[in-house]
Amino acid sequence: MFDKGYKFNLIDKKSVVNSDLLTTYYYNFRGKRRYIVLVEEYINKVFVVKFYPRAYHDSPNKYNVLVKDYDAARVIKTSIDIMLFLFENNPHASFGFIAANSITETQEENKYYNKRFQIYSQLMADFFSSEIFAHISSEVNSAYLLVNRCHADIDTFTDSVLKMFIRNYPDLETEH
Amino acid sequence: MKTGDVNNTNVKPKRVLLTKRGVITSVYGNKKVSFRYISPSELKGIRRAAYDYLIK
Repeated sequence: MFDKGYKFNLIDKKSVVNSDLLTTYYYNFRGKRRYIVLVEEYINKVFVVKFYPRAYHDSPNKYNVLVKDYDAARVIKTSIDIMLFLFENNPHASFGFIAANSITETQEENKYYNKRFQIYSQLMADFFSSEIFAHISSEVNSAYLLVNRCHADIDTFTDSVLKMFIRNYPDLETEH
Repeated sequence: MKTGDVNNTNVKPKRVLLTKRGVITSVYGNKKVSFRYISPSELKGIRRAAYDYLIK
């Protein structure tokens, strides 16, 4: 089901200064409709991957829409292929994502352990070895991190990645 | 790189420091967020046999 993705192209790249975020890469691909994949490269080679249908570019819910094309498997696999491509070119890369809750005209799914998170976390287990990446998740936030184990002090590195995630994603649910 | 080559190494895993039950809590400023470390054995259980061919 998740065996085949679409061919993707790098269409743009924007650098940012004075921030944890260094560069944003824009990939596109065409499935049953056109998609944009945003890859944000943060310090320490941490890549955050996001995608949305191009037609929803200006929508505030572009990450939350359900398009009902019955093409999710190939679309998601294309994003995984982009992650594998990035890993090939950056062997020290770590990855992260937050699975968006679905929002339709009539319903809004909870952020907690949402449908996309359940699918994506299964795919992370399927495609990314635990020998190379430490798999770390937050079900409350539907967030997932693949921390590259190449770092000598992985505990310190993991903590710095988590702190960076908290810094850059202020909507994360916190403990009190 | 073919899909799944990411699984194709013999790198020895480094351990991640954990608190009890695999919970990693990170504090930044006044925010405290907890993540859960998924152990290799748990991942092995989750991984679907359909994708075993990816792991050489």
